[in-house]
Amino acid sequence: MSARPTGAVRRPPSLGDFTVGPRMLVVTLWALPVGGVAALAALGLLRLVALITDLVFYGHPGTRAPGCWPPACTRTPGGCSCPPRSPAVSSWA
Amino acid sequence: MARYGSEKIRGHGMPEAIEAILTGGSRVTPRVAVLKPVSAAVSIGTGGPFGAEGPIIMTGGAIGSILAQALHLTADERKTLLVAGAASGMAATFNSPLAAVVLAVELLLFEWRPRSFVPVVGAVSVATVARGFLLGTAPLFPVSTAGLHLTPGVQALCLASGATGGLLAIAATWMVYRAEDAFNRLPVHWMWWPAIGGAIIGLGGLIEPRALGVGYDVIGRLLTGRATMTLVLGILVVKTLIWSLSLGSGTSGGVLAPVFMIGGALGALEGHLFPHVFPGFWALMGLAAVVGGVMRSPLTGLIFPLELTHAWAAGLSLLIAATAAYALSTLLLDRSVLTEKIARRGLHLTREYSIDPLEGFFARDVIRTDPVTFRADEPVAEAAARMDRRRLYPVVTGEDRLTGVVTHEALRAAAQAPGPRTVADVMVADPVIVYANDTLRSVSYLFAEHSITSAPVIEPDDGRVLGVVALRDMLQARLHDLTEESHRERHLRVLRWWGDASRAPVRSPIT
Repeated sequence: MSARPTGAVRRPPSLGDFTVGPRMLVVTLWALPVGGVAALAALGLLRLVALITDLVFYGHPGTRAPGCWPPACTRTPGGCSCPPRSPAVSSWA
Repeated sequence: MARYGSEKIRGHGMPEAIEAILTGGSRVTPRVAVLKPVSAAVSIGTGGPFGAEGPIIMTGGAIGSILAQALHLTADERKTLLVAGAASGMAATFNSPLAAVVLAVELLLFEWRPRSFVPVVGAVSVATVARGFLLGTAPLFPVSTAGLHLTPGVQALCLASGATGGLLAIAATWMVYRAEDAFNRLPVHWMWWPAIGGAIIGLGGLIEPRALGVGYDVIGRLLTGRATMTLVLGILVVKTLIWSLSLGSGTSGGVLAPVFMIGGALGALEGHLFPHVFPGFWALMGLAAVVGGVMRSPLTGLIFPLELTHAWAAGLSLLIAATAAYALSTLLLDRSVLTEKIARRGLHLTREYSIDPLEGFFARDVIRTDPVTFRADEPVAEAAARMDRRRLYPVVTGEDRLTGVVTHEALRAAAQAPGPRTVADVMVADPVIVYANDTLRSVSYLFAEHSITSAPVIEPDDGRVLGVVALRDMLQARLHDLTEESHRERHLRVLRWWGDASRAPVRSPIT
């Protein structure tokens, strides 16, 4: 036993269902912008995948129907209509 | 990029995120945040049969981690921000905030506590709202459940669908790691493995081009009941093979979308045998089952399909299917596709959550009462004569108030030294103390923090010394937990005719 002077400063425990303090709110505040930036990064990655797909499979970018992928797809009321042998992604949204 | 940039970008992303959390103090380098999405985009965009969600998880996690590293935070807080970024990326991709939070809890956080749950939910909410502005709020694969009537027979078949999905999940996981083993035996540098994997993908694409890429269109067809038998069989065979073989090569790409597609194809195949419920119902069950079996996250397996399709009425069926697959997978496989990779790096992780047994006991439940105590003015020789085998003795006043502690060794040494001395000369005047209503968990933290193995226990109200708690006393809580887990006993003996076993004496629990 190597006792150290801490007994006097300890407080009796306060027990509850959870161990949580106001620090949680600080971390939550930091998490909010992380959520926004991560969402933008995720959507950016999807766009990048779409761009590379377009370049690799069709040789040129930007000819697809809005919201649909690959360019052979067309926009329909229910989403995208794609040819049956489409190699890649039909709808990002 | 992996060889000269960062090896962390190899593989599907989630094991790397888990590893960063478990062993890296939740520190991810900015290099990974850039290289991972670029490598994944090249891999998927050129036809790799992977999902974007794994790389998105790694990228989002890297964003959270980089911010956290720029702030003055603890490792646990860094982990929270890393997971917040990872879950946010996923929620934004699939418009699935619930599934993202559940996945974070089941796979990444390794805890379910308000301190991490609330920030993750906050981040996911922001990401989902942002996604709504940019891409809309509609589900990715809307399914109509109008007129849905689920009979008990259909629910029973969901169990069968879940079991089949579980077996497929086990087979796919097995193939991924057998492929990795095979690549490991190749006499070429690992940098070339993805190129070989790419050749396999190309061959598969020649047979079934719709197995290439992320395949959201195929998933949509499967879930809306518009897939032909050719497509279903093509996906089931070709996608499973090229996905597992190329993933084993270390190519950058996620597992979730391929698992959706493979599971959906299995369910669609079953739909030809099982009774009709609504178009895509059985594909939905297959999807949930294979997700539950591959990821071994049954709630993720349940909620993900619900959020992708908004087929809320199929909730129970999905739960049955996902849990059946999960049960089978946990029974037959030691590790999942996510954790095997980590285990192969020499790390062990468990994904079982339970309350710490030490949290269920107070110090007063396990202390040794009636301790031998000394007075400060007591001669050392007399005190040494009253010592027993304990290592620590409280020094008290006339009212049993603690004034210090003295160790066995210190007292014995003082007693053997020449000259008159009192206990006050050898005691520690301001020791670490334990309150009677401290939980054993907080006592164990206290012991670890101060490198001690025993401490006096005092009553918090009046400061009286009640006894001494030692490290070995805390084993009682562990023993109780062990007893609860392994000791079988019968308490009700209604079935007296059930033979001798019912008349056997009930064992007392170990205390």
